[in-house]
Amino acid sequence: MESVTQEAHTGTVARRVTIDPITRLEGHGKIDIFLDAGGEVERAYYQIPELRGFEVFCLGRPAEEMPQITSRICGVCPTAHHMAATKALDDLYHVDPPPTAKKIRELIYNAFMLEDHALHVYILGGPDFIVGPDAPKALRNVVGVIDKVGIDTGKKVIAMRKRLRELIAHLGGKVIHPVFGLPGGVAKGVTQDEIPALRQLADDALEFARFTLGVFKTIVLANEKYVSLITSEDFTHRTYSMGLVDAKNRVNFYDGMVRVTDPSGKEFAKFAPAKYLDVIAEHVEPWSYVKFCYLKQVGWKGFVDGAESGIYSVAPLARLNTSDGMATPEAQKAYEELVATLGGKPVHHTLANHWARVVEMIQAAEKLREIANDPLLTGKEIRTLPTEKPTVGVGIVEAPRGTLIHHYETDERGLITKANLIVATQNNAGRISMSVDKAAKGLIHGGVVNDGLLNKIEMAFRAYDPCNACATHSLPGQMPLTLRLRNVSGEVLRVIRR
Amino acid sequence: MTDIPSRKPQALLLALGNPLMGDDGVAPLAARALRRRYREDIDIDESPVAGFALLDLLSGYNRALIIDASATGNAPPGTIREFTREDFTADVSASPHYAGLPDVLALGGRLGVPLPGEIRILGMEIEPPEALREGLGPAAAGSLPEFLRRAGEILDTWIDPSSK
Repeated sequence: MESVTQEAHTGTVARRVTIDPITRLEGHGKIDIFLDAGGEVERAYYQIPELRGFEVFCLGRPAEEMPQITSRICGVCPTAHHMAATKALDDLYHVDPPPTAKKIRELIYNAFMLEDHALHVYILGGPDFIVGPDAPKALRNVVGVIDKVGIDTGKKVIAMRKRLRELIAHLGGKVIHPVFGLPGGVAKGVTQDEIPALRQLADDALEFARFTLGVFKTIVLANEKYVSLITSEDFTHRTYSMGLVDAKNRVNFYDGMVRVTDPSGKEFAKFAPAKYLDVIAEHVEPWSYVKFCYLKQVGWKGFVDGAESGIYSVAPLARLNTSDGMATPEAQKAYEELVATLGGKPVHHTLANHWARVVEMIQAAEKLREIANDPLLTGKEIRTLPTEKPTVGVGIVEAPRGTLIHHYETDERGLITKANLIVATQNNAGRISMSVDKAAKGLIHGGVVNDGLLNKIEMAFRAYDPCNACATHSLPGQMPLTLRLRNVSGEVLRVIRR
Repeated sequence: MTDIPSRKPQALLLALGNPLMGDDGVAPLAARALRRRYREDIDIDESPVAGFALLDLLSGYNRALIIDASATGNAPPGTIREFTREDFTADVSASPHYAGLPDVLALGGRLGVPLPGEIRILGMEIEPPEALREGLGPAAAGSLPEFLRRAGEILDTWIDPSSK
């Protein structure tokens, strides 16, 4: 449903277009498009909302509350926040969790990654490829996706998500309010009698991930039109890539060093989480409070591609680009196929994120199976008790949508004196803006806003799976896209809403 | 009903909202206040997450009352309104990342997920939260007793339909 409202009109030609993609205007993602005097797009930005009041809210609170608090601020990835905060507490209290605790955390984390990615592949990103980018608007929704993949597949997706979420809840407390993470370990162990069901679930999960790759190949890769869309210049940006890697430079969601590779694929930096401020800086655009992350050593050169520009990318495709491969055999095979099909590494086609996400689903499922069969999982030692005074702690995980950084400092009683979060979508904000800019420039000419703009812009930013880092979701509970055309003084000229 | 009575309550009170985001937490606060009176007869759950999580939360119940904050901007903060399914079903979201009730019901219906036959939705219009903050603003706080009363009115008919 789309309606056009004439809210005001002035004779000014220089305008600003804002697409506010969510019910709540405050604290949510927004797209601003500035038009020049001729009505052509000068620049478009994707604004990651600032989580206002976070530091003030945290000051003086016991650090141990952070895994609970931060998991509640985000309605999209509570498990990622819970885990990043828990790892920051390990660092803050200078404790190394016992191997069993690490296995349990990694098990939960991979279950979460698989569940979240499945949702995106089938439901969130589905309208773009499964239904098709050119399908009528009325079909480009979740019902359209189910009609295309078939009801049985839909049921399979829902059933697998349910089982994975039940596993997370069983081991870690409610999915939306996880409570398992403690500094130095986890709250609850895994018993031997839980293992058979866990192994069964892991086997089924891997089967499901394989099935998903098959669906992707049949519907997307077999369609030449889709493949040429993925590889088109319209959806391509040659930027740096960032992600966590293990000791062998393979993709790791839960732990490791952060690696950055340049647009040609060469390693540019590799650093321990505590050093993140040496590498990442934030640029503030003069017109806005919004911060854009960039690589400090390269510098901020504006919203441009290339090795001279400090803009970098996170999320599935960036993780694949910045690693030397996947950590598990079947995922490695799928990864090699992706790289070969798309012309070698690094792959800079934004829409290839959808494919990379499926490759990561396979790794997550294989990891589940590996851990479920690891005798360490049922060990009795699940926590190293902190004995040292807390100081500074940084925890980094790969959220489904990219690198997530939690940083806390406390006084010696463990009360927060400083708190900083960099969420995945903040890391990606510069590149998402570039993608949105390209889409806008292709569609807006002479001040005329093509209604297809909303669709194409959605496609451009949805590939990144951006998260608006905020759990507010009030009624009507959906995301009306609102596009605002403003003049330079901020007056609204026109509103398009659907 | 000729079925063998199940131990599981057939009705659900589901409060959506985030207590860390000011007025957005009005429904969870209301649910906590209603818990003592209704916990024997009705399942009471709260969630800061909407979207497809609703599918899991609603599945298996005959009846559900969803209480939530609304930020439509077309009524003063503190206004309490009952919405019906029909208020939503006309507009399935084109952007499923922020899936709302219509998407969830449409998906559930298509996949045969057992969703409640009766879903009632009570919303309180709020001041959109601008920053992390606990506690309600004056308008939401002032309307809370009426919110509880309206929710209670609906729940009472479910506990003992003959008394209606």
